[in-house]
Amino acid sequence: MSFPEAWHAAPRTLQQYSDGTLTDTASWSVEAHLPGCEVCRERLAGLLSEQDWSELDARRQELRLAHQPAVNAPALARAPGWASLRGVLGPWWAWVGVVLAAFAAVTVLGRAPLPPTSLLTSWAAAVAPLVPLVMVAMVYAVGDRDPAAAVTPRGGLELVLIRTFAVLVMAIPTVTLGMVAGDTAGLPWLLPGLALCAGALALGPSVGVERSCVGLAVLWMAVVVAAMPPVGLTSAASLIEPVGTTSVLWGCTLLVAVGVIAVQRDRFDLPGRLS
Amino acid sequence: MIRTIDLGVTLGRTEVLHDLDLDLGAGVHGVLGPNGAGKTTLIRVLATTLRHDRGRVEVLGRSLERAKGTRWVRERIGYLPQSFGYHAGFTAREYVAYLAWLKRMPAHDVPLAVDRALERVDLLSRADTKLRKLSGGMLRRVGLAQAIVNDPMVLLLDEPTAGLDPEQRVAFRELLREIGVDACVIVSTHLVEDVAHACHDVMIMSEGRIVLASTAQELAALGADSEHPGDSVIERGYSAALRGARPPGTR
Repeated sequence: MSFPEAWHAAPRTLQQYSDGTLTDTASWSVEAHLPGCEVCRERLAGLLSEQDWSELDARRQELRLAHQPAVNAPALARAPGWASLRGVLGPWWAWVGVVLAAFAAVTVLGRAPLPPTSLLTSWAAAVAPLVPLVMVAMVYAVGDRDPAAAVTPRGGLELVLIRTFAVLVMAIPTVTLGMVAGDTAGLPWLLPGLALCAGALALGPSVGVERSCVGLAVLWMAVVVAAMPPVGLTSAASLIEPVGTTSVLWGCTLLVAVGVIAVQRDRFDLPGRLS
Repeated sequence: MIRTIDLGVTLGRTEVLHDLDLDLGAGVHGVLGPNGAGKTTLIRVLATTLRHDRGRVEVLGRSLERAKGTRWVRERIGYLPQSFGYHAGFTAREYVAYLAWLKRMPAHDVPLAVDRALERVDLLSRADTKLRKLSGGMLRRVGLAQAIVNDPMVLLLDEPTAGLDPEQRVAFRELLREIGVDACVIVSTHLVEDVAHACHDVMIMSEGRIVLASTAQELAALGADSEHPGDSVIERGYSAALRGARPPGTR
């Protein structure tokens, strides 16, 4: 709406109105005029002091709260944080179970006897690098698989990275402690474990993270079998317990996988064909 | 707000969508058609979950070819999938709050936005009930609450009225009309009366094509003087359109 100049409140009137010295009747007229007139609202805004603004903000906040539905304050205070964590990882009790199972497996397999002709030093070495990979697959199985969540700005790469990070935070201490308890501390498992994990994510946009985890786990188990009698491949054994140049190989694999993830990071956030 | 040019999708060997041209602005737009007509595929393409094979898609003026544009679009849309894989252990409030977080809403806005969304679908009284204890109709409304929690400019609803009882359906249509004042709402449904009561215009789909695009009144007019089966004029209009009693009309 535009008014000719005569229709606007006089500067002196606005000044008095903002000071609170205008008569009631005149204030009433100003208030009737303001909602329809952008020019006068702007002029009035220019006259307001710092204190007026903070009072206005407080009043606005008060009104907003007064018009909100009755809410359950404690539930609200913790809702976003807890809800996101639960959505990202699934129920906490599932993870207590997974962590305990992984710990027990690494401990028990650390003490379990191997066939005498096996080239491995411990069963724990065969299983430990699988723990992060299996946990990434688990997070997709017990975390949410909501099509509505998949089309959110955080639902692509960001969710994948948060989940993987959370898995590593759980897996690394679990396996380390399990190895200590199973007298196998010092087995070089972390590098293959991280490389398998990164490999699964790198293949994720093409085949789906769950499927790539399962695929790599099967591949790993095939290598384990190859290191056992009667096959007994030395190369397979050194893949599982990286020694010398093999650990460089695993380091390179990890770097390449991370590079692939970085290069195709956008594919995690584009409409896809997989789900 | 939504524009497609020659949009085509092939899943496996089936061509699910053929050369679809859409240009939709604010309002409630119904997508009506029998099972397998391509309604869900269309909604999924527009909701940025399914990649299209041919043609162009623009949502809110952005193409979905690049990740940055797609994320931008995703902050501004709401999507109610046909079925949602929620955590049964979530309460309604937690579920909607989780989706609000995924949609990158500022943390200080989330609590009030969540409660407002739940109030709009009339579920605030059940906000702290676990999802596994809610009925099918209530779950559908929780799904709707997550779709509208970010005040989307484009709202995509796939069979939203499935499982709602008649009274809830009336309230739901009311809500759609309210949102459709300034947002672009697309509702896929096989219920003709949803279209008759909530939609400004309707696209009838059959075998991956839009066979008729008209206003709800025009559809009723088409049914008024037709012999096709149906319990209401608009239902008869729908059958008439499907059977191609008249050449595909354009608005």
